[in-house]
Amino acid sequence: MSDYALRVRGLYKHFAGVQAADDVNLAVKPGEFRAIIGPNGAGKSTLFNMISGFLKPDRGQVFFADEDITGQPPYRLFRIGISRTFQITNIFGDLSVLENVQSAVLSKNRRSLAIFAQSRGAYIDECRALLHLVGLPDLERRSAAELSHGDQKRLELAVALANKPRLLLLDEPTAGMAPQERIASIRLVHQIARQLGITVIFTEHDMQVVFAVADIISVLHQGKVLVEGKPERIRDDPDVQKIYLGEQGGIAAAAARAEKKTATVA
Amino acid sequence: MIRTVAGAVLLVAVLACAPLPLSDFWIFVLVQMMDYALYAVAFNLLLGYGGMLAFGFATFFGLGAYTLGILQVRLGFDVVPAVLAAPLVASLFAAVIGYFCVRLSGIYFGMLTFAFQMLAYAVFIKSYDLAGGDDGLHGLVVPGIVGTPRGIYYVSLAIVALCLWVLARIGSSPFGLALRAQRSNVNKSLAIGINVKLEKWLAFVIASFFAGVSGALSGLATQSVFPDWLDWRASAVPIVMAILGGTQRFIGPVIGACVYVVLQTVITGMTEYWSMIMGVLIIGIVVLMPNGIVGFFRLRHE
Amino acid sequence: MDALFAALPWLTNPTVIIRQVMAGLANGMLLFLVASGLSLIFGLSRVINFGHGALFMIGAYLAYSVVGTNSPDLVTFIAMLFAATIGLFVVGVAFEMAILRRIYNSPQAFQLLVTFGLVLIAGDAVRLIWGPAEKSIPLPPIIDDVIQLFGVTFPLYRALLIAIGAAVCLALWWLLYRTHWGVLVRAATADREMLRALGVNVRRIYTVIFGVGAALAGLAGALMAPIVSIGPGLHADVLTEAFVVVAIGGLGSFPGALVGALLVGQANAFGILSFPQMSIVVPFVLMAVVLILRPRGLMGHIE
Repeated sequence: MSDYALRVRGLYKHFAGVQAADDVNLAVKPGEFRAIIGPNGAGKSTLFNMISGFLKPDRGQVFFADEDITGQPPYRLFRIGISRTFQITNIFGDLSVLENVQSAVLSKNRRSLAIFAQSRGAYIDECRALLHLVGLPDLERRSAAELSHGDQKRLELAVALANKPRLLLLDEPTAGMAPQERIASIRLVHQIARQLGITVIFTEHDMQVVFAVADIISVLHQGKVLVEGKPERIRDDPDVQKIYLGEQGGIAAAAARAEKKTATVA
Repeated sequence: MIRTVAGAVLLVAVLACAPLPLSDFWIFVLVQMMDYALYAVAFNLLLGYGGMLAFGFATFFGLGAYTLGILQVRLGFDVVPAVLAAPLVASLFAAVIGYFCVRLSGIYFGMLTFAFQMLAYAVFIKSYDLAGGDDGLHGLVVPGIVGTPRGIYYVSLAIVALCLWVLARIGSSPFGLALRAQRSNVNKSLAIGINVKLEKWLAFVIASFFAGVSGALSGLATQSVFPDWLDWRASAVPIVMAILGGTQRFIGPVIGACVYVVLQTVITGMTEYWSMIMGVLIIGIVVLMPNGIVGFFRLRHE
Repeated sequence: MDALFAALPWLTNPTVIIRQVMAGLANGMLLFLVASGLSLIFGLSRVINFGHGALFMIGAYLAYSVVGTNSPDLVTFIAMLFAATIGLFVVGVAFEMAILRRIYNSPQAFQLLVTFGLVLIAGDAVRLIWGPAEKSIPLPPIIDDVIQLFGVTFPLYRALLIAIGAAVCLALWWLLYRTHWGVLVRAATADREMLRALGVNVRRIYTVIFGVGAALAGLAGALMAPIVSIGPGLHADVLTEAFVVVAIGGLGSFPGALVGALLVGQANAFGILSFPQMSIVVPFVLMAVVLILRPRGLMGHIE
């Protein structure tokens, strides 16, 4: 058992005049629920894409437990236990809900090239268990495209769990949801992750969501990890406030902090 | 499911009795329907299931026919090994060019398959000694009772029924599901561990195999191989049949093929300008019935 | 080295080389006329017009209608060229407005079938109107001559073809790169949604471009009419050649169409010299190689 579930060392990526990743370093412990936040353009998606094999870094390495997975294609990563979801809901719209999960379970069991078996009832118990876990028990036959946005997100989660992952990468998991739904949704993920011992790394814009569940927060800014730590520490960090609220906002926040201190003392 | 199997068995039974009252001409029409049904279903494995539109699919039909013709007529092979070799050659060619084609998607995939078809056509049309050049190959006669129209009918029925059954199973296999998944969403497929290029390549090889079978059967039925079968214009035929019948159901292309053959037979009988009528019909169908015949009627029911 | 010269004897013969280069240029210019239209149409509407050869063929038949089998004078001949160009512009616009514009948002298979429908209809229509026998038209006597170019005897008409082709190429270039309208066309090729959002009448641009593409094909057909056998199967070979050119040059690229056409023209000319038996295979091998190594063609854009 390695010390870390995921380690990122010195990752660089350059795109058309922008250094999207500028010496990114990350170390996530097994079972951790890690949030990666940062303003738009900070490089969160780039980092995610490099970890999940959709992008090759210019320099640097990615380690999954002790294995160097730098630059490996996504389908290989799925097989060794890394799953990811996408910002824009990514499901198989043309397939039924059950088929969505089945295709992932079949793939996990290396059956995707089996031409003579029949997929109809394949791994049905496992698929149903997954659907039940995310709260979609009765929608098997429905076309995935017909589901509500929230249900599609649940389906996406079920599919991501199909390979019994050790690491789950969630790209803006609550994007597009109504505010009330978001906390409930991320709490469900948190609960499942704890239950199954999955390490989770997720990106998020909504701070309430982040503070509700994150063990540790990494703040990205202009391709670098600016600061890292427990939620309370990050919330009060002046640099973080500055990058989110701009220079003026940072001053205002500092003033608010100072006021809070004097108020507490008094 | 049971309904489908019962339906299929019934259909085969009906088809088995069909030649008895029919003239040779209509027996030949039925044979063409069966051959083309296989051709269309094979093509639809790529289009409907895999989302790959090959502009040059007739290559494999033609290669199957030419393999049969060359082996039988030029090299004196027996009909059975020639028929067995035909799909193997077609799928071998597909395996090689498929390696290059499946790295591309969309229009570029289509174009490359089209390019290889034109190349194949050029080679065959210039090989007079081997392939009969402009004239094609003739005299593909099968000796004995099998060579009669009824004999060819039953052989074709047996082979097409078997091949369609295999293709149906392949379509509903885990491979078929993975194929449909990558058609639906390539990135997601990659993310769940599917080797998309390999899936596409395999689909390409399988589809070409069965296209080769249908080409060989057509060669047997017409006792000839025509260079037109490799002409780029021939590649429109499987597309027409698949679209006509609807690409989203296994049975769609079968219906499309039957309708196409009937149309072609009837119209060719009516006028020598049947191409023009066909052209008008094709445009009409595309504009008026975008879901194909199967889709058109399904929509009506809902 | 000697083996090479033995296999390709023309390598040591400068007269032959010059003549073939010029023949290749003439061929290339005609190919350019057809291929540029095909490429422009694709660049804008993302439709591969498989009926483009049919448009060429109609141009050739129109030439026959105007000129007939009698030896024409120069005025008639030039009038015929204009008639074919304008006539095909009209045909193109009509086809685009009546049929093609309905399927711009349809699946690719549908688009393919619609342009294919044009192929089928045109093939029989010319047979119906002009009969199945092959036709030919003579050149105006004043052009039916040879000239001396670079110390080589060369048919005057072919030299004229090169000149006309170059002139049209320049005109198109000017249109696309030096007029406001051309800017719109090139912008629409790159990003039509944006143009629509800016309130530009993109539909009209599509129609006009299709008409222009058809007109170019028609002109090529009319120009080819005196030196080719006009029959109902003419469109098939032309489409094949045009396709090779745009595949090599890059779909949607105007400079690519020129480069591709010139390349294929030369490949044809020297291919016939070097491998007379299998010369028609040469352009296809070239195309396959280019598409494998660079799927978008030599100068095409990545989608």
